[in-house]
Amino acid sequence: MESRLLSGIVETLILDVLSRGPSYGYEIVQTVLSESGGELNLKEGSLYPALHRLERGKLLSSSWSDTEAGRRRKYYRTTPAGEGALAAKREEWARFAAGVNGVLGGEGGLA
Amino acid sequence: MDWPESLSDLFPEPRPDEPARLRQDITDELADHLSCALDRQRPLVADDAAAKEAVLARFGNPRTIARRLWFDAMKEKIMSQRITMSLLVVALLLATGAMGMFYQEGRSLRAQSESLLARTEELAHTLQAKLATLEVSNDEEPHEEETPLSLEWAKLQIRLVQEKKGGPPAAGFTARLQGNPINPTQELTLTEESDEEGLIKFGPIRPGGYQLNVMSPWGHSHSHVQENIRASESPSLLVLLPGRTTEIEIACPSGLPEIAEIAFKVDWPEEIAKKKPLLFCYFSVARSHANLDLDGGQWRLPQRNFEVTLNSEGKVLERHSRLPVLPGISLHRPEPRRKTKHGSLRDRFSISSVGSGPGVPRLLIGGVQAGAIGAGGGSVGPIEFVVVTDLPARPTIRTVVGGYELYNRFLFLPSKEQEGAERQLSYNVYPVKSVTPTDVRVFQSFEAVPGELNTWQIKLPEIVLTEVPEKPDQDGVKPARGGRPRG
Repeated sequence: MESRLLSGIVETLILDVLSRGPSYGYEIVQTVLSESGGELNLKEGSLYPALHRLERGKLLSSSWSDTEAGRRRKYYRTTPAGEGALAAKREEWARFAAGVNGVLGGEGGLA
Repeated sequence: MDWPESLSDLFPEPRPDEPARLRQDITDELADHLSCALDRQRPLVADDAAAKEAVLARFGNPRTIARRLWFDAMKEKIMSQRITMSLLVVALLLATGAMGMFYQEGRSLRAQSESLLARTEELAHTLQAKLATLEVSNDEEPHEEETPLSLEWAKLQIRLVQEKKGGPPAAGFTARLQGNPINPTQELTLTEESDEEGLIKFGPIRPGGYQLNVMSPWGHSHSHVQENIRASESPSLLVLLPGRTTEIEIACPSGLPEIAEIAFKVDWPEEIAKKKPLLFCYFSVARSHANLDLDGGQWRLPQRNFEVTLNSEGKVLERHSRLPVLPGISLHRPEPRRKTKHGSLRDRFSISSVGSGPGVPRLLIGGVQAGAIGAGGGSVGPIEFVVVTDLPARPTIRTVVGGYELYNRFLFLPSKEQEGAERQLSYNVYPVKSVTPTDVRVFQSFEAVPGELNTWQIKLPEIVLTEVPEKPDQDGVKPARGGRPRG
Protein backbone atom coordinates (compact mmCIF):
# COMPACT_ATOMS: atom_id res chain seq x y z
CA MET A 1 0.00 0.00 0.00
CA GLU A 2 1.21 3.50 -0.71
CA SER A 3 2.89 5.14 2.28
CA ARG A 4 0.54 8.17 1.96
CA LEU A 5 -2.47 5.92 2.54
CA LEU A 6 -0.71 3.99 5.27
CA SER A 7 0.36 7.04 7.27
CA GLY A 8 -3.27 7.87 8.01
CA ILE A 9 -3.90 4.64 9.80
CA VAL A 10 -0.56 3.93 11.50
CA GLU A 11 -1.89 4.91 14.93
CA THR A 12 -4.95 2.69 14.47
CA LEU A 13 -2.75 -0.26 13.55
CA ILE A 14 -0.47 0.31 16.54
CA LEU A 15 -3.41 0.53 18.96
CA ASP A 16 -4.92 -2.61 17.47
CA VAL A 17 -1.74 -4.66 17.82
CA LEU A 18 -1.12 -3.45 21.39
CA SER A 19 -4.72 -4.07 22.42
CA ARG A 20 -3.88 -7.78 22.30
CA GLY A 21 -0.95 -7.43 24.72
CA PRO A 22 2.32 -5.57 25.39
CA SER A 23 4.78 -5.37 22.53
CA TYR A 24 7.81 -3.42 21.31
CA GLY A 25 8.59 -1.52 18.12
CA TYR A 26 10.16 -4.18 15.96
CA GLU A 27 7.58 -6.76 16.95
CA ILE A 28 4.73 -4.38 16.15
CA VAL A 29 6.11 -3.85 12.64
CA GLN A 30 6.44 -7.55 12.05
CA THR A 31 2.91 -8.23 13.32
CA VAL A 32 1.39 -5.67 10.98
CA LEU A 33 3.41 -6.97 8.05
CA SER A 34 2.48 -10.56 8.77
CA GLU A 35 -1.23 -10.02 9.38
CA SER A 36 -1.61 -7.88 6.29
CA GLY A 37 -0.06 -10.52 4.09
CA GLY A 38 2.82 -8.17 3.36
CA GLU A 39 0.56 -5.39 2.08
CA LEU A 40 1.13 -2.99 4.96
CA ASN A 41 4.89 -2.63 4.87
CA LEU A 42 5.54 0.18 7.32
CA LYS A 43 8.59 2.35 6.99
CA GLU A 44 9.97 1.13 10.26
CA GLY A 45 11.44 4.41 11.43
CA SER A 46 8.09 6.15 11.04
CA LEU A 47 6.63 3.88 13.70
CA TYR A 48 8.43 5.56 16.62
CA PRO A 49 7.12 9.13 16.27
CA ALA A 50 3.63 7.61 16.23
CA LEU A 51 4.36 5.43 19.30
CA HIS A 52 5.74 8.40 21.24
CA ARG A 53 2.81 10.61 20.18
CA LEU A 54 0.32 8.02 21.46
CA GLU A 55 2.28 7.73 24.69
CA ARG A 56 2.27 11.50 25.24
CA GLY A 57 -1.48 11.43 24.57
CA LYS A 58 -1.90 8.87 27.39
CA LEU A 59 -3.29 6.30 24.96
CA LEU A 60 -0.26 4.07 25.57
CA SER A 61 1.89 3.38 28.59
CA SER A 62 5.41 1.94 28.50
CA SER A 63 7.96 0.07 30.57
CA TRP A 64 11.54 -1.08 30.10
CA SER A 65 13.06 -4.54 30.44
CA ASP A 66 16.39 -6.15 29.58
CA THR A 67 16.76 -8.71 26.78
CA GLU A 68 18.88 -11.87 26.89
CA ALA A 69 21.40 -10.12 24.69
CA GLY A 70 21.77 -7.43 27.34
CA ARG A 71 19.93 -4.68 25.47
CA ARG A 72 17.20 -2.46 26.98
CA ARG A 73 13.81 -2.94 25.36
CA LYS A 74 10.81 -0.65 25.63
CA TYR A 75 7.43 -2.35 25.84
CA TYR A 76 4.18 -0.53 25.10
CA ARG A 77 0.64 -1.37 26.13
CA THR A 78 -2.72 0.33 25.62
CA THR A 79 -4.36 2.34 28.40
CA PRO A 80 -8.16 2.41 28.95
CA ALA A 81 -8.18 5.68 27.03
CA GLY A 82 -6.31 3.93 24.23
CA GLU A 83 -8.93 1.18 24.15
CA GLY A 84 -11.66 3.77 23.78
CA ALA A 85 -9.75 5.57 21.07
CA LEU A 86 -9.24 2.29 19.21
CA ALA A 87 -13.00 1.60 19.25
CA ALA A 88 -13.70 5.03 17.84
CA LYS A 89 -11.03 4.68 15.17
CA ARG A 90 -12.36 1.27 14.16
CA GLU A 91 -15.84 2.71 13.69
CA GLU A 92 -14.47 5.67 11.78
CA TRP A 93 -12.48 3.37 9.54
CA ALA A 94 -15.48 1.11 8.88
CA ARG A 95 -17.53 4.10 7.71
CA PHE A 96 -14.68 5.40 5.64
CA ALA A 97 -14.03 2.03 4.01
CA ALA A 98 -17.74 1.52 3.35
CA GLY A 99 -17.94 4.93 1.77
CA VAL A 100 -14.95 4.31 -0.46
CA ASN A 101 -16.31 0.91 -1.42
CA GLY A 102 -19.66 2.44 -2.18
CA VAL A 103 -18.02 4.75 -4.68
CA LEU A 104 -15.62 2.21 -6.12
CA GLY A 105 -18.29 -0.48 -6.34
CA GLY A 106 -16.83 -2.77 -3.73
CA GLU A 107 -18.72 -4.64 -1.01
CA GLY A 108 -20.17 -2.92 2.00
CA GLY A 109 -21.00 0.34 0.29
CA LEU A 110 -23.22 2.75 2.15
CA ALA A 111 -25.76 2.70 -0.57
CA MET B 1 24.02 4.87 4.34
CA ASP B 2 26.63 3.70 6.87
CA TRP B 3 25.67 1.71 9.92
CA PRO B 4 25.66 4.28 12.71
CA GLU B 5 28.08 3.72 15.56
CA SER B 6 26.20 6.30 17.61
CA LEU B 7 22.59 7.43 17.27
CA SER B 8 23.09 10.61 19.25
CA ASP B 9 25.22 12.49 16.70
CA LEU B 10 22.42 14.80 15.59
CA PHE B 11 20.92 15.59 18.99
CA PRO B 12 20.93 19.30 19.83
CA GLU B 13 22.88 20.76 22.74
CA PRO B 14 21.59 19.53 26.11
CA ARG B 15 18.99 21.75 27.76
CA PRO B 16 18.62 22.33 31.50
CA ASP B 17 14.92 21.47 31.39
CA GLU B 18 15.48 18.21 29.50
CA PRO B 19 14.60 14.90 31.28
CA ALA B 20 17.81 13.17 32.33
CA ARG B 21 17.18 9.86 30.54
CA LEU B 22 15.49 11.17 27.41
CA ARG B 23 18.42 10.80 25.02
CA GLN B 24 19.43 7.42 26.40
CA ASP B 25 15.91 6.06 26.16
CA ILE B 26 15.58 7.16 22.54
CA THR B 27 18.90 5.68 21.45
CA ASP B 28 18.31 2.43 23.38
CA GLU B 29 14.90 1.95 21.81
CA LEU B 30 16.11 2.56 18.25
CA ALA B 31 19.24 0.46 18.81
CA ASP B 32 17.11 -2.45 19.99
CA HIS B 33 14.99 -2.20 16.85
CA LEU B 34 18.02 -2.11 14.57
CA SER B 35 19.60 -5.07 16.33
CA CYS B 36 16.43 -7.15 16.03
CA ALA B 37 16.16 -6.28 12.35
CA LEU B 38 19.81 -7.08 11.71
CA ASP B 39 19.57 -10.43 13.51
CA ARG B 40 16.63 -11.33 11.29
CA GLN B 41 18.28 -10.08 8.11
CA ARG B 42 21.69 -11.73 8.45
CA PRO B 43 20.63 -15.29 7.50
CA LEU B 44 18.93 -13.93 4.41
CA VAL B 45 21.90 -12.23 2.72
CA ALA B 46 25.46 -13.04 1.82
CA ASP B 47 27.35 -10.77 4.15
CA ASP B 48 26.97 -8.45 7.10
CA ALA B 49 27.28 -5.27 5.02
CA ALA B 50 24.38 -6.26 2.79
CA ALA B 51 22.27 -7.10 5.84
CA LYS B 52 22.93 -3.66 7.41
CA GLU B 53 22.15 -1.94 4.14
CA ALA B 54 18.81 -3.74 3.88
CA VAL B 55 17.90 -2.91 7.48
CA LEU B 56 18.67 0.79 7.05
CA ALA B 57 16.72 0.85 3.78
CA ARG B 58 13.60 -0.27 5.63
CA PHE B 59 14.18 1.80 8.75
CA GLY B 60 15.40 5.13 7.42
CA ASN B 61 18.16 7.27 8.93
CA PRO B 62 18.17 6.36 12.65
CA ARG B 63 20.05 9.51 13.70
CA THR B 64 17.49 11.73 11.99
CA ILE B 65 14.66 9.79 13.61
CA ALA B 66 16.37 10.01 17.02
CA ARG B 67 16.64 13.80 16.62
CA ARG B 68 12.98 14.07 15.63
CA LEU B 69 11.91 12.02 18.67
CA TRP B 70 13.95 14.33 20.90
CA PHE B 71 12.27 17.42 19.39
CA ASP B 72 8.83 15.86 19.68
CA ALA B 73 9.45 15.18 23.38
CA MET B 74 10.79 18.68 24.03
CA LYS B 75 8.36 20.55 21.73
CA GLU B 76 6.00 21.77 24.44
CA LYS B 77 8.78 23.10 26.62
CA ILE B 78 10.54 24.79 23.69
CA MET B 79 7.30 26.39 22.43
CA SER B 80 6.34 27.51 25.91
CA GLN B 81 9.71 29.18 26.32
CA ARG B 82 9.39 30.90 22.93
CA ILE B 83 5.88 32.16 23.70
CA THR B 84 7.05 33.54 27.04
CA MET B 85 9.87 35.36 25.32
CA SER B 86 7.52 36.73 22.65
CA LEU B 87 5.06 37.97 25.27
CA LEU B 88 7.85 39.71 27.13
CA VAL B 89 8.95 41.47 23.95
CA VAL B 90 5.36 42.51 23.14
CA ALA B 91 4.81 43.75 26.69
CA LEU B 92 8.01 45.77 26.47
CA LEU B 93 6.92 47.31 23.16
CA LEU B 94 3.45 48.13 24.53
CA ALA B 95 4.91 49.74 27.61
CA THR B 96 7.21 51.85 25.46
CA GLY B 97 4.31 52.85 23.18
CA ALA B 98 2.08 53.71 26.15
CA MET B 99 4.74 55.94 27.63
CA GLY B 100 5.02 57.75 24.31
CA MET B 101 1.24 58.20 24.10
CA PHE B 102 1.02 59.51 27.67
CA TYR B 103 3.72 62.00 26.86
CA GLN B 104 1.86 63.22 23.74
CA GLU B 105 -1.47 63.28 25.59
CA GLY B 106 0.06 65.33 28.37
CA ARG B 107 1.28 67.93 25.90
CA SER B 108 -2.14 68.05 24.22
CA LEU B 109 -3.98 68.40 27.56
CA ARG B 110 -1.71 71.21 28.61
CA ALA B 111 -2.47 73.09 25.37
CA GLN B 112 -6.22 72.51 25.83
CA SER B 113 -6.08 73.72 29.43
CA GLU B 114 -4.35 76.90 28.39
CA SER B 115 -6.98 77.48 25.67
CA LEU B 116 -9.81 76.81 28.13
CA LEU B 117 -8.32 79.18 30.66
CA ALA B 118 -8.12 81.95 28.06
CA ARG B 119 -11.76 81.43 27.07
CA THR B 120 -12.86 81.38 30.71
CA GLU B 121 -11.12 84.67 31.32
CA GLU B 122 -12.79 86.17 28.25
CA LEU B 123 -16.21 84.94 29.45
CA ALA B 124 -15.60 86.35 32.92
CA HIS B 125 -14.86 89.76 31.41
CA THR B 126 -18.06 89.59 29.37
CA LEU B 127 -20.11 88.63 32.43
CA GLN B 128 -18.61 91.43 34.46
CA ALA B 129 -19.55 93.88 31.73
CA LYS B 130 -23.12 92.52 31.65
CA LEU B 131 -23.43 92.66 35.45
CA ALA B 132 -22.33 96.25 35.38
CA THR B 133 -24.98 96.98 32.76
CA LEU B 134 -27.65 95.24 34.86
CA GLU B 135 -26.71 97.19 37.95
CA VAL B 136 -27.17 100.40 36.01
CA SER B 137 -30.48 99.34 34.52
CA ASN B 138 -31.83 98.21 37.93
CA ASP B 139 -31.75 101.79 39.03
CA GLU B 140 -33.92 102.72 36.11
CA GLU B 141 -37.28 101.48 34.90
CA PRO B 142 -37.08 97.72 34.18
CA HIS B 143 -37.56 97.56 30.43
CA GLU B 144 -35.72 94.89 28.53
CA GLU B 145 -35.65 96.72 25.26
CA GLU B 146 -33.45 99.31 26.84
CA THR B 147 -30.82 96.71 27.77
CA PRO B 148 -28.18 97.08 25.13
CA LEU B 149 -27.20 93.93 23.28
CA SER B 150 -23.84 93.55 21.61
CA LEU B 151 -23.82 92.66 17.97
CA GLU B 152 -22.66 89.18 18.98
CA TRP B 153 -26.03 88.37 20.54
CA ALA B 154 -29.72 88.38 19.72
CA LYS B 155 -33.00 87.69 21.53
CA LEU B 156 -36.35 86.22 20.53
CA GLN B 157 -39.68 86.93 22.17
CA ILE B 158 -42.75 84.97 21.08
CA ARG B 159 -46.29 85.96 22.01
CA LEU B 160 -48.77 83.11 21.60
CA VAL B 161 -52.42 84.07 21.22
CA GLN B 162 -55.60 82.10 20.69
CA GLU B 163 -57.18 81.85 17.24
CA LYS B 164 -56.08 85.23 15.82
CA LYS B 165 -53.60 88.06 16.24
CA GLY B 166 -54.52 90.14 19.28
CA GLY B 167 -56.45 87.24 20.82
CA PRO B 168 -56.24 86.06 24.44
CA PRO B 169 -52.92 84.51 25.50
CA ALA B 170 -52.25 80.84 24.80
CA ALA B 171 -50.57 79.32 27.87
CA GLY B 172 -48.87 75.96 28.18
CA PHE B 173 -47.68 75.74 24.58
CA THR B 174 -44.16 74.51 23.93
CA ALA B 175 -41.74 76.28 21.59
CA ARG B 176 -38.64 74.59 20.28
CA LEU B 177 -35.86 76.61 18.71
CA GLN B 178 -33.30 74.66 16.72
CA GLY B 179 -30.11 75.69 14.96
CA ASN B 180 -26.56 76.86 15.45
CA PRO B 181 -25.50 79.82 13.30
CA ILE B 182 -21.91 79.52 14.51
CA ASN B 183 -21.52 75.82 13.76
CA PRO B 184 -24.40 74.36 11.69
CA THR B 185 -23.01 70.84 12.08
CA GLN B 186 -23.69 70.92 15.83
CA GLU B 187 -27.35 71.86 16.05
CA LEU B 188 -28.60 73.14 19.40
CA THR B 189 -32.17 72.82 20.65
CA LEU B 190 -33.77 75.23 23.12
CA THR B 191 -37.22 74.49 24.53
CA GLU B 192 -39.47 76.87 26.48
CA GLU B 193 -43.12 76.84 27.56
CA SER B 194 -45.47 79.80 27.26
CA ASP B 195 -46.47 81.44 30.55
CA GLU B 196 -49.86 82.77 31.61
CA GLU B 197 -49.39 85.76 29.31
CA GLY B 198 -48.55 83.47 26.39
CA LEU B 199 -44.96 84.71 26.34
CA ILE B 200 -41.86 82.72 25.50
CA LYS B 201 -38.37 84.26 25.57
CA PHE B 202 -35.14 82.95 24.13
CA GLY B 203 -31.77 84.57 24.55
CA PRO B 204 -29.35 86.06 24.49
CA ILE B 205 -28.44 83.66 21.72
CA ARG B 206 -26.28 83.91 18.65
CA PRO B 207 -27.89 85.84 15.78
CA GLY B 208 -28.59 83.92 12.58
CA GLY B 209 -30.95 81.31 11.17
CA TYR B 210 -33.09 79.02 13.31
CA GLN B 211 -36.11 76.76 13.00
CA LEU B 212 -39.03 77.41 15.32
CA ASN B 213 -41.73 74.86 16.10
CA VAL B 214 -44.65 75.35 18.46
CA MET B 215 -46.78 72.53 19.82
CA SER B 216 -50.08 72.65 21.63
CA PRO B 217 -50.53 70.66 24.86
CA TRP B 218 -52.82 68.26 22.94
CA GLY B 219 -50.59 67.71 19.92
CA HIS B 220 -51.25 70.36 17.25
CA SER B 221 -47.91 71.46 15.79
CA HIS B 222 -46.87 74.57 13.92
CA SER B 223 -43.66 75.25 12.04
CA HIS B 224 -43.17 79.00 11.98
CA VAL B 225 -42.08 80.72 8.79
CA GLN B 226 -40.97 84.33 8.95
CA GLU B 227 -42.83 86.60 6.57
CA ASN B 228 -39.85 87.51 4.44
CA ILE B 229 -38.56 83.95 4.10
CA ARG B 230 -39.74 81.36 1.64
CA ALA B 231 -39.72 77.99 3.32
CA SER B 232 -38.86 76.19 0.12
CA GLU B 233 -35.68 78.21 -0.32
CA SER B 234 -34.13 78.15 3.14
CA PRO B 235 -33.72 75.56 5.84
CA SER B 236 -33.83 78.40 8.40
CA LEU B 237 -37.35 79.69 8.78
CA LEU B 238 -36.53 82.39 11.30
CA VAL B 239 -33.60 84.81 11.22
CA LEU B 240 -32.54 86.67 14.38
CA LEU B 241 -30.74 89.93 13.70
CA PRO B 242 -27.60 90.81 15.68
CA GLY B 243 -27.96 93.15 18.61
CA ARG B 244 -31.78 93.09 18.47
CA THR B 245 -34.75 91.41 20.10
CA THR B 246 -36.98 89.84 17.47
CA GLU B 247 -40.63 89.79 18.47
CA ILE B 248 -43.22 87.60 16.78
CA GLU B 249 -46.84 86.78 17.46
CA ILE B 250 -48.37 83.42 16.58
CA ALA B 251 -52.07 82.54 16.52
CA CYS B 252 -52.68 79.15 18.14
CA PRO B 253 -55.60 76.72 18.41
CA SER B 254 -57.74 77.57 21.40
CA GLY B 255 -58.34 74.07 22.64
CA LEU B 256 -58.86 70.42 21.89
CA PRO B 257 -60.22 69.77 18.41
CA GLU B 258 -63.89 68.91 18.24
CA ILE B 259 -64.67 65.24 18.20
CA ALA B 260 -67.31 63.44 16.19
CA GLU B 261 -68.73 59.96 16.60
CA ILE B 262 -68.77 57.68 13.60
CA ALA B 263 -70.76 54.52 12.84
CA PHE B 264 -70.22 52.46 9.71
CA LYS B 265 -72.60 50.69 7.41
CA VAL B 266 -71.59 48.39 4.58
CA ASP B 267 -73.86 47.46 1.69
CA TRP B 268 -73.34 43.73 1.87
CA PRO B 269 -75.67 41.64 -0.24
CA GLU B 270 -77.35 38.95 1.84
CA GLU B 271 -75.50 36.02 0.30
CA ILE B 272 -72.17 37.56 1.18
CA ALA B 273 -73.21 38.88 4.60
CA LYS B 274 -74.09 35.32 5.60
CA LYS B 275 -70.43 34.41 5.16
CA LYS B 276 -69.43 36.90 7.83
CA PRO B 277 -67.01 38.95 5.78
CA LEU B 278 -64.57 41.55 7.06
CA LEU B 279 -63.83 44.84 5.40
CA PHE B 280 -60.59 46.70 5.96
CA CYS B 281 -60.89 50.41 5.35
CA TYR B 282 -58.14 52.98 5.05
CA PHE B 283 -59.24 56.56 5.86
CA SER B 284 -57.03 59.57 5.36
CA VAL B 285 -57.73 63.12 6.45
CA ALA B 286 -59.12 65.02 3.49
CA ARG B 287 -56.60 67.36 1.99
CA SER B 288 -58.91 70.30 2.66
CA HIS B 289 -58.96 69.46 6.38
CA ALA B 290 -55.42 68.19 6.84
CA ASN B 291 -54.21 71.49 8.26
CA LEU B 292 -55.74 74.12 10.49
CA ASP B 293 -55.22 77.63 9.11
CA LEU B 294 -55.05 80.27 11.84
CA ASP B 295 -54.34 83.82 10.76
CA GLY B 296 -52.02 82.69 7.98
CA GLY B 297 -50.23 80.05 10.05
CA GLN B 298 -50.62 76.34 9.34
CA TRP B 299 -51.18 73.97 12.26
CA ARG B 300 -50.88 70.29 11.59
CA LEU B 301 -53.31 67.85 13.12
CA PRO B 302 -51.66 65.38 15.44
CA GLN B 303 -53.41 62.51 13.74
CA ARG B 304 -53.46 62.06 10.00
CA ASN B 305 -55.31 58.89 9.14
CA PHE B 306 -56.74 55.74 10.59
CA GLU B 307 -57.76 52.24 9.61
CA VAL B 308 -60.73 50.22 10.71
CA THR B 309 -61.69 46.62 10.31
CA LEU B 310 -65.45 46.23 9.95
CA ASN B 311 -67.39 43.05 10.43
CA SER B 312 -70.46 42.06 8.47
CA GLU B 313 -72.65 44.17 10.79
CA GLY B 314 -70.52 47.27 10.25
CA LYS B 315 -69.06 47.14 13.76
CA VAL B 316 -65.42 48.02 14.34
CA LEU B 317 -63.03 45.30 15.46
CA GLU B 318 -61.09 47.56 17.75
CA ARG B 319 -58.14 45.29 18.32
CA HIS B 320 -57.75 44.85 14.60
CA SER B 321 -57.88 48.51 13.71
CA ARG B 322 -55.60 51.49 13.90
CA LEU B 323 -57.91 54.05 15.44
CA PRO B 324 -57.44 57.82 15.72
CA VAL B 325 -54.92 58.80 18.35
CA LEU B 326 -55.38 62.05 20.25
CA PRO B 327 -54.55 62.94 23.86
CA GLY B 328 -57.65 62.30 25.90
CA ILE B 329 -59.53 60.37 23.24
CA SER B 330 -57.02 57.71 22.21
CA LEU B 331 -58.64 54.40 21.49
CA HIS B 332 -55.45 52.72 20.54
CA ARG B 333 -53.93 50.08 22.73
CA PRO B 334 -51.10 47.68 22.03
CA GLU B 335 -52.15 44.31 20.77
CA PRO B 336 -50.84 41.25 22.55
CA ARG B 337 -48.89 38.76 20.54
CA ARG B 338 -50.39 35.33 20.12
CA LYS B 339 -48.54 32.25 19.13
CA THR B 340 -49.87 30.26 16.21
CA LYS B 341 -48.28 27.51 14.25
CA HIS B 342 -47.40 30.16 11.68
CA GLY B 343 -45.44 32.19 14.19
CA SER B 344 -46.14 34.95 16.62
CA LEU B 345 -48.81 37.34 15.37
CA ARG B 346 -50.41 40.44 16.71
CA ASP B 347 -54.18 40.58 16.85
CA ARG B 348 -54.12 43.44 14.40
CA PHE B 349 -52.97 40.87 11.90
CA SER B 350 -54.46 42.19 8.74
CA ILE B 351 -53.01 45.65 8.78
CA SER B 352 -49.68 45.10 10.41
CA SER B 353 -48.78 42.06 8.40
CA VAL B 354 -50.27 42.78 5.01
CA GLY B 355 -49.04 46.34 5.19
CA SER B 356 -50.87 49.59 5.50
CA GLY B 357 -51.64 52.55 3.33
CA PRO B 358 -53.43 52.96 0.06
CA GLY B 359 -53.03 50.18 -2.44
CA VAL B 360 -53.05 47.34 0.05
CA PRO B 361 -55.78 44.76 -0.42
CA ARG B 362 -58.60 45.40 2.00
CA LEU B 363 -61.55 43.14 1.46
CA LEU B 364 -61.60 39.69 2.95
CA ILE B 365 -64.70 37.66 2.34
CA GLY B 366 -65.48 34.57 4.29
CA GLY B 367 -65.27 33.10 7.75
CA VAL B 368 -63.71 35.92 9.62
CA GLN B 369 -60.20 36.31 8.43
CA ALA B 370 -57.06 36.91 7.94
CA GLY B 371 -53.41 37.63 8.53
CA ALA B 372 -50.81 37.44 5.92
CA ILE B 373 -47.39 36.05 6.57
CA GLY B 374 -44.77 36.74 4.01
CA ALA B 375 -46.40 39.64 2.22
CA GLY B 376 -45.21 43.14 2.79
CA GLY B 377 -45.27 46.63 1.42
CA GLY B 378 -48.54 46.10 -0.38
CA SER B 379 -47.18 43.36 -2.61
CA VAL B 380 -49.32 40.28 -2.92
CA GLY B 381 -47.87 36.87 -3.55
CA PRO B 382 -48.58 33.42 -2.16
CA ILE B 383 -49.80 34.13 1.37
CA GLU B 384 -50.84 32.14 4.40
CA PHE B 385 -53.78 33.33 6.42
CA VAL B 386 -55.05 33.02 9.95
CA VAL B 387 -58.75 32.70 10.52
CA VAL B 388 -60.09 34.43 13.58
CA THR B 389 -63.43 33.96 15.28
CA ASP B 390 -65.20 35.53 18.26
CA LEU B 391 -63.83 39.00 17.68
CA PRO B 392 -65.01 41.75 20.05
CA ALA B 393 -66.56 44.65 18.15
CA ARG B 394 -67.65 48.19 19.00
CA PRO B 395 -70.49 50.02 17.26
CA THR B 396 -68.74 53.40 16.79
CA ILE B 397 -65.43 55.21 16.90
CA ARG B 398 -64.55 58.82 17.68
CA THR B 399 -62.33 61.05 15.62
CA VAL B 400 -61.57 64.69 14.91
CA VAL B 401 -64.25 66.54 12.97
CA GLY B 402 -63.49 67.25 9.33
CA GLY B 403 -63.34 65.55 6.00
CA TYR B 404 -62.01 62.07 5.39
CA GLU B 405 -61.32 60.02 2.32
CA LEU B 406 -61.66 56.26 2.00
CA TYR B 407 -59.29 54.50 -0.35
CA ASN B 408 -59.64 50.74 -0.68
CA ARG B 409 -58.39 48.00 -2.88
CA PHE B 410 -59.89 44.54 -2.78
CA LEU B 411 -58.66 41.03 -2.33
CA PHE B 412 -60.76 37.88 -2.33
CA LEU B 413 -60.22 35.01 0.07
CA PRO B 414 -61.93 31.68 0.74
CA SER B 415 -65.42 31.96 2.05
CA LYS B 416 -65.67 29.21 4.63
CA GLU B 417 -63.69 27.67 7.40
CA GLN B 418 -61.94 24.64 6.04
CA GLU B 419 -61.86 21.11 7.32
CA GLY B 420 -59.24 20.36 9.89
CA ALA B 421 -59.12 23.91 11.16
CA GLU B 422 -56.95 24.04 14.24
CA ARG B 423 -58.45 25.60 17.34
CA GLN B 424 -55.99 27.76 19.18
CA LEU B 425 -57.15 30.24 21.82
CA SER B 426 -60.00 31.96 20.04
CA TYR B 427 -58.44 31.34 16.66
CA ASN B 428 -58.95 28.84 13.94
CA VAL B 429 -55.73 28.53 12.04
CA TYR B 430 -55.29 27.17 8.57
CA PRO B 431 -53.14 28.02 5.61
CA VAL B 432 -54.47 29.21 2.32
CA LYS B 433 -52.16 28.26 -0.47
CA SER B 434 -52.41 31.38 -2.55
CA VAL B 435 -54.66 34.26 -3.38
CA THR B 436 -55.06 36.40 -6.41
CA PRO B 437 -55.96 40.06 -5.95
CA THR B 438 -58.18 41.94 -8.23
CA ASP B 439 -57.34 45.50 -8.91
CA VAL B 440 -60.60 47.04 -7.82
CA ARG B 441 -60.19 50.43 -6.18
CA VAL B 442 -62.73 52.52 -4.32
CA PHE B 443 -62.68 56.16 -3.33
CA GLN B 444 -65.33 57.73 -1.13
CA SER B 445 -65.47 61.00 0.79
CA PHE B 446 -66.99 61.40 4.24
CA GLU B 447 -67.54 64.21 6.68
CA ALA B 448 -67.25 63.95 10.46
CA VAL B 449 -69.70 66.46 11.90
CA PRO B 450 -69.77 67.31 15.63
CA GLY B 451 -72.81 66.92 17.84
CA GLU B 452 -74.46 64.03 16.05
CA LEU B 453 -73.83 60.40 15.18
CA ASN B 454 -72.25 60.24 11.75
CA THR B 455 -73.11 57.13 9.78
CA TRP B 456 -70.67 56.50 7.00
CA GLN B 457 -72.19 54.17 4.41
CA ILE B 458 -69.51 52.31 2.51
CA LYS B 459 -70.42 51.17 -0.97
CA LEU B 460 -68.80 48.12 -2.44
CA PRO B 461 -67.88 48.14 -6.10
CA GLU B 462 -70.07 46.03 -8.33
CA ILE B 463 -67.32 43.62 -9.19
CA VAL B 464 -67.00 42.70 -5.52
CA LEU B 465 -70.68 41.94 -5.27
CA THR B 466 -70.84 39.85 -8.42
CA GLU B 467 -67.62 37.96 -8.71
CA VAL B 468 -67.13 36.21 -5.41
CA PRO B 469 -67.10 32.47 -6.18
CA GLU B 470 -69.42 30.25 -4.20
CA LYS B 471 -66.69 27.78 -3.31
CA PRO B 472 -62.95 28.20 -3.13
CA ASP B 473 -60.89 25.97 -5.32
CA GLN B 474 -57.76 24.21 -4.09
CA ASP B 475 -55.58 27.24 -4.51
CA GLY B 476 -57.90 29.57 -2.68
CA VAL B 477 -60.47 31.82 -4.27
CA LYS B 478 -59.58 33.17 -7.63
CA PRO B 479 -62.14 35.75 -8.65
CA ALA B 480 -63.02 35.68 -12.27
CA ARG B 481 -62.44 38.84 -14.18
CA GLY B 482 -65.09 40.55 -16.25
CA GLY B 483 -68.02 38.65 -14.75
CA ARG B 484 -71.68 39.43 -15.15
CA PRO B 485 -72.64 42.67 -13.40
CA ARG B 486 -75.10 42.45 -10.56
CA GLY B 487 -78.65 43.50 -11.08
